[in-house]
Amino acid sequence: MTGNIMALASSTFLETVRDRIFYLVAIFGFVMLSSTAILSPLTVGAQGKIMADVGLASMVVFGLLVVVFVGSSMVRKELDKGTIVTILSKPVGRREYLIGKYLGLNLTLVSMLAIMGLMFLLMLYLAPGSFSLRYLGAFYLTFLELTLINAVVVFFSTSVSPVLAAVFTLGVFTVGHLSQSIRDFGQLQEGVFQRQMSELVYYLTPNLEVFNLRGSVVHGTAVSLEHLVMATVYSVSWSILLLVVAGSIFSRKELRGE
Amino acid sequence: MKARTKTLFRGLAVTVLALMIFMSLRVFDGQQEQATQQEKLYIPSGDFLVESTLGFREAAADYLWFRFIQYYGAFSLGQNDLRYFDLLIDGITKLDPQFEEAYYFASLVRWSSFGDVEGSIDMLKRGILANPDKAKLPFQIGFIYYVIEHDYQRAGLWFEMAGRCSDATDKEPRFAAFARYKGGDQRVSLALWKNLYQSTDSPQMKELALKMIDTINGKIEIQKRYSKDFIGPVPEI
Repeated sequence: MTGNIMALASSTFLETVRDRIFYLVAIFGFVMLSSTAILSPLTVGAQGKIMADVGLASMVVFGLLVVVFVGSSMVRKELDKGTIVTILSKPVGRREYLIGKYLGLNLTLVSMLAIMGLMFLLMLYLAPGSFSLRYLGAFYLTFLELTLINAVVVFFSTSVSPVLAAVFTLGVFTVGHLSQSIRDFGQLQEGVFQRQMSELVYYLTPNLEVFNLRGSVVHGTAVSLEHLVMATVYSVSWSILLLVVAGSIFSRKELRGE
Repeated sequence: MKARTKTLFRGLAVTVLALMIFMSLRVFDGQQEQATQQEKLYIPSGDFLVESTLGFREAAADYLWFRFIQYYGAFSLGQNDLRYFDLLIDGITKLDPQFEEAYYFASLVRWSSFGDVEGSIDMLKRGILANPDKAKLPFQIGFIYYVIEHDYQRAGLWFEMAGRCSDATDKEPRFAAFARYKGGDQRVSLALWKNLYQSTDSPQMKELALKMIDTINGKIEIQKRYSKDFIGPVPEI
């Protein structure tokens, strides 16, 4: 079972490499260079901060683009090509297939984030007084956020079209960053229904602000080990839950030619 | 012949299109000044920005910061007034409350362009609330009291506060000691210089501290010796 999953994961990873996903890393490098060289006269004493903000935000944006656009069409592409039927005709379970795809995309994310992280640290190293290893905590939280989003996109891609899966995933990303505010706003309402609805939204959508400590990291506060552990538990729990539900939907799905 | 005409036609089309793009840009350039004024009207409140920028608040603050610098640059060139100053600063500091430079620069503008010293100090105090352990902002308040208000006692207090921050260097206690000395509070100044002498690693700073300790001790000695009959300012040594 593990062998099947690993084989699927590595083939998914190689597929993203063939799709030239890593071109995004080159764009990231360009963004970092621009924020350093072109924008530096406008930073007025905040060059290190702005480089770090732009770099960390770009990592999330590029990671999100990969997850949403690659993840949403991952299953459909194989359905259209018919390769999924060939894979599933071998002793590979549907759940294994989904997990393999999920892990493959995670592997792509890890590679991308590792390269972007190195470029980021190198650029900070070149700007005096900005370099710090505390950014590793922010990288890790970004990875956790993106793996959770990856699970969300896998969940949607098993049941709706790629376009809808991408839209829904972006919706979850938006609500995920607003869920705390929605809850706070709901608590201010007089109606019980509104209060309960806001609570429901809060618990039914992943709170992605848990992974957003970029601001405090840039301003010199390292992420605590406790936070990293809890964020890992939160991300892994959500991901497993979503993959389990996606697996049961996908098991019941009728595939052409199977 | 036909192929050549085709190539010629394509070349002409590309040239016309390039010219049209260039002309449009020229028109936009002409409208830029007006646009800079107008578009600020559409900057929403800081609270709205916090919610609408999702997880990218700091990057959004940086974007507003660039706009602010350009806006202030245009003001320096006499192209606009500063009527959207507060709106921009509110947006930046709500999006990134720990953006130290924003408070610092905004305080500088308040004082130098509006002549609003109180507002300038308030801006720095807002910054201190969000960044309680950063020396730069209390130091700047001390500097304003020292240079503009000539209130050396208060300046000394703020410099001392800056000196207690984790990123403080030798500079903050040195300014505190100088301000206290200038304010006539020689015993506090002496204590501060002694403290600086013990804590600093810089030989130059040690030398300066020693010189100041000698000077203040000399003054205190004169005051003690002539306290009964001496009236008026203490002579410089």
